[in-house]
Formats: sequence, structure tokens, C-alpha cells
Amino acid sequence: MSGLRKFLCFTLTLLALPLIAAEEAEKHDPLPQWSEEDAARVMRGECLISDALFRLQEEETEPPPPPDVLDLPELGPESLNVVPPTEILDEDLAKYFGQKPKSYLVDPQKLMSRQEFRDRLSFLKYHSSDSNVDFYVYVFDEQQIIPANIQVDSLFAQYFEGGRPAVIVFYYMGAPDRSELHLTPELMRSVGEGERMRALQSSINQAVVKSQAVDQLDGFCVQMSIRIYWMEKAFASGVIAPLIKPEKADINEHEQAARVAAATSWFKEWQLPIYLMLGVTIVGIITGSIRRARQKFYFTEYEIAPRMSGSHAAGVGAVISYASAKIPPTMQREQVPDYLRRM
Amino acid sequence: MKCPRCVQKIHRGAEACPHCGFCLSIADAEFGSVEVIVRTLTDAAGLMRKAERSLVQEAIERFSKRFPQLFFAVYTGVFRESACLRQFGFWLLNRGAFEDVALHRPNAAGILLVMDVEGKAAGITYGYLLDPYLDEDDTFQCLSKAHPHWLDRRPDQGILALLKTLEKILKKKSRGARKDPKSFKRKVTPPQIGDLVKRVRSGPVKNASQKYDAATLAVSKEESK
Repeated sequence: MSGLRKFLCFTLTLLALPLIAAEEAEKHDPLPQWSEEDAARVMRGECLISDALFRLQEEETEPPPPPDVLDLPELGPESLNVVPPTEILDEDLAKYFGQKPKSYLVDPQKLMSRQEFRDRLSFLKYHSSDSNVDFYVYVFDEQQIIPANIQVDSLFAQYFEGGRPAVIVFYYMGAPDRSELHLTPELMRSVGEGERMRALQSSINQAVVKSQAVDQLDGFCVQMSIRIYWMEKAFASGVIAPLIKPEKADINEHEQAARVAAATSWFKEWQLPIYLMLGVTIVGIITGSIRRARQKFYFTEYEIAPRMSGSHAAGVGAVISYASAKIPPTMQREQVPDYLRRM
Repeated sequence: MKCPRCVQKIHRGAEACPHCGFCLSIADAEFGSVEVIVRTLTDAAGLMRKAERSLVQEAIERFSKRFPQLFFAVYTGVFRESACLRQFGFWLLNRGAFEDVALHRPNAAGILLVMDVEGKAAGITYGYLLDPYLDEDDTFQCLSKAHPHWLDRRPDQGILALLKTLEKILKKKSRGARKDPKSFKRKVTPPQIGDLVKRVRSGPVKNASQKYDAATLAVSKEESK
């Protein structure tokens, strides 16, 4: 029985094989069909067999589907509304000047990172804990301009009235030379304008030597803190007299004109004697130089007993060798007989 | 004062070197006993070009005008091994007749620069007139100024530099001699024995007050007489 079963299975398998092969052949590409004409073209070298095969495949490959395109909303005119670098948004202005600053460092625009902000704030806090004069820093961007309608001094006078004296600095990140210094009214009365200008300028000088904007702010704050110490002294004692010297431009033009006129009249009066003196001096110099050039020098002649039978001369001077640059004159100062030199 | 051969110090008026016995007759035996006719610039070795020679000649003439008593001469030559610069300079200044030098300037007022082209050495010799005014250091200073030029093979420039330095030194010495002639005289004139005896007898004068005392004593003695 088992033998019969094996025989039946084998027979069925053999019968099924052609069917499976046909099915597989249907799945694959059909082989190309060659005509007599194709054979003739190949023989003439007009086409290659491989070209025909691959072209067939290429023709049959479908082009890749186009990529999906996202449908973006069309940009309206309001999306192009960029804030100019000089402008400060109204909401930020309100945060700057709408109230008395809650922190020593005011940066509503988040121009500094959180860490940078914390570091600078801790320094300002330390300063205020150590000094009787508070130190506030308002941070703005490099090109920003505070609107003219904001009366900064009156605002600060209002905010800091009755409180501790304070120094408020408007600091522009990356442009320390634009910094502005404001003092509370009572401090303003004690500290002269000259001292204020010096404090600001020295702080700017300290800032500009740094390259990074945040480091510049550091340098500025440290120097200003030092200068505030002196302001504090002045505040305790009285007034610092302005020490700035008047610039040349400040000199009265009338005075200058009067001086010039006086000098001119003096010169006109003494013109002749001056020219005479100059002439005499020049002539004297020229004459002196000519005389010196023509001057002759004489020597007293003494009776000298002849030496070594020489009737005219026996004065032996130095001898120097210039055979080698390695033997400078200093090495030849000690004079030796010529027979030794020759050796 | 030194001997031209052994470069040892010799006494004033020594007829021969007490150390080596050198004298003019020995130099005569070496270089000749007859007088030789030379010019202030005798480029026997052909060291300089024509233009260079004229430059040096002009400088020599300027020197002569500035110092009317003196003259400066240059001799370049190739010397034998046995010969030497100092001896030749000594001999030439005594035996040479400088034909382009005025008669009122004797050889005693001459300064001679001798250059040995083969041995590449140079030396200065000078006459008796300059004994009080020039010494070995002065001449060494002059030669040192010329040294770098000679190293660069520019003999004319070296000589010009030497002359410039020599003029400076001589001007200074001339002015000094006018202000303080005694200090120069002392260099060449031996001290008088009579003066020495007087000084020994009178005793040393220590200070001004003693001088004053001696003077007042002499006056009072005369008054008492």
C-alpha cells in the first residue's frame, strides 16, 4: 500500500511541474524576439544586442511617482512686517519704563541668555549690597533708539523719589560707546557733570577693549561700580567740582582775536630790531663757520735731541693689520715688533 | 718713544736702541743710504685707481692748508719678508725727499703712512716736531678708523677716514698747546737740574696758607733790612 501511495505522489508531482514552470514564466519578463532584420542590423554593427535588451527593460520601467508637495498657505502682506533694528516694541517699552525696575538688570527683550543675565544680575546685586548707591542697567540692542517722547529723567525722578540714590545706565549691547548715564536727582546735585562724564568715559574705555558683547558689559559694569564708589563719597561729603578743562573751542573768540591783534601790533613795532637781530645772527653763524673752515693750526716747535741717528724723525706710531676681519683693531692695541707680527 | 724694530721704550737722545741696537745705519743697510725722491702720495704698489689717487691727493692738500707747518704723506709698497713697516717708515722719513712739499716744511714736520699691500698692514711714523703732540694711541685711533674701509678694499676711503681723525686730534692738540704749552714742553724737554735743586732746597709747599706765610716772611725780612 505504501509503495502505491509513493508512486501516486511522484506521478502527481511530475504532472504538476510544467504547470508551476509556466506560472513562474508568466511572472518574469518575456524574452526578446529576434527577427531576421534585427540579426542583419546586429551583423552590420548598427545596434548591440545588450542595447535592445536594456532598452526593453527601460521602456517597461515606470517613472517614479512625483514627490508629495505640501500645500503651504499663501503669504499675506502682514507676514512681511519685520521690526526695524532701531525700534523698540511698545510692549517692551512699557516693561522698560512703565514702572520702577524690579531688578537691577532690565532686559525685557531677552537680549542675553538666562545664564548671562543671572551672572550680571548677581554682580549688580552684590554692588548694591556693598554700596549706598544702587546701580541699574537697562539693556538695549545695538542700534535701538529710545523714543524721544519718553522723558527718562522725569520718569526716574518719579520712580526713585524717596528711595536710595541710584545710577541708571542705558547700555546698548555691542555698542558700549552709546551708553547713557542717568542719576537720581539728589545724586545729580552732588556729582558734577565732569565727574559723570569721566565715569561714563572710563567705563566705555574698559568695555571697548573686550571683543564679546557680554564681556563688554562686564567690563563696563565693573568700572562703573568703581566710579560709583567715588560718587558715593561725593554724595556723602557734598559736591564734586567739575574738573574738565575748557576745550579750545570754548575759548572766547573775542579774546583770541584780541590776542592775535596784540601780537601783530607788537611784531609791527619790533619788526626792524627783530629782523636786524636775525640777520646779525645768521651772518655771525656763516662767518663763524667760514672762519672755522679756514682756521689754521700751529704747533710750537721744541728743540729735540735726535734719536737713533735719525735727523728728521724717530716717532714710531702704531701698526695695524687689515688682513682678516676676525682680528679687529681692539685686538691689535698692544703693539708688537714686526717680526713677531709676520710670524 | 719706542724703537722701530723691537718696539721697546728708549731714552731721549739715544743714538741706538739699548735693547736691540737699531739705528738709522742699520735701516740704511736694509733700504739704501742715499736719499730717495718721493711724492706725498707714492702709490708704488699700484693700490689705488686714478680717481682714488686724486681724492687722496686733494685730502693731503687740504691737510697741508689746515696745518701750515706739517705735511702728510702716503707710501704703498710690497715689502720683503725681512723688511718691516716701522723701520721703513723711520728710514723713508729720514732719507726721503718729498718733491711736492715746500721747503719750509721739513721732514721733521711730516706724518707718513706706510701701507704694506702684500702683508696687509699699515703703520704711521712722524717727525720730531710732532713728538710732543702725537703718541702711539693717537696713531692707533687713526688707523682704527681706516681699518673697516681697508677690509672692504677701499684704500682711498680708509686714508680719508684716517686723515679726518688725524685732523681732529691735531686740532685738539694745537688748541691744548696754546692754552697750556708747558704740559707739552715737559714731554720732550728733560727737567732742568737747577730747578730740581731749587725745589729740593726750598722744600715742598703743602698748601696756600704756607705759601702765604713764606711770602709774608720774605716781605718782613726785606722791611727789616
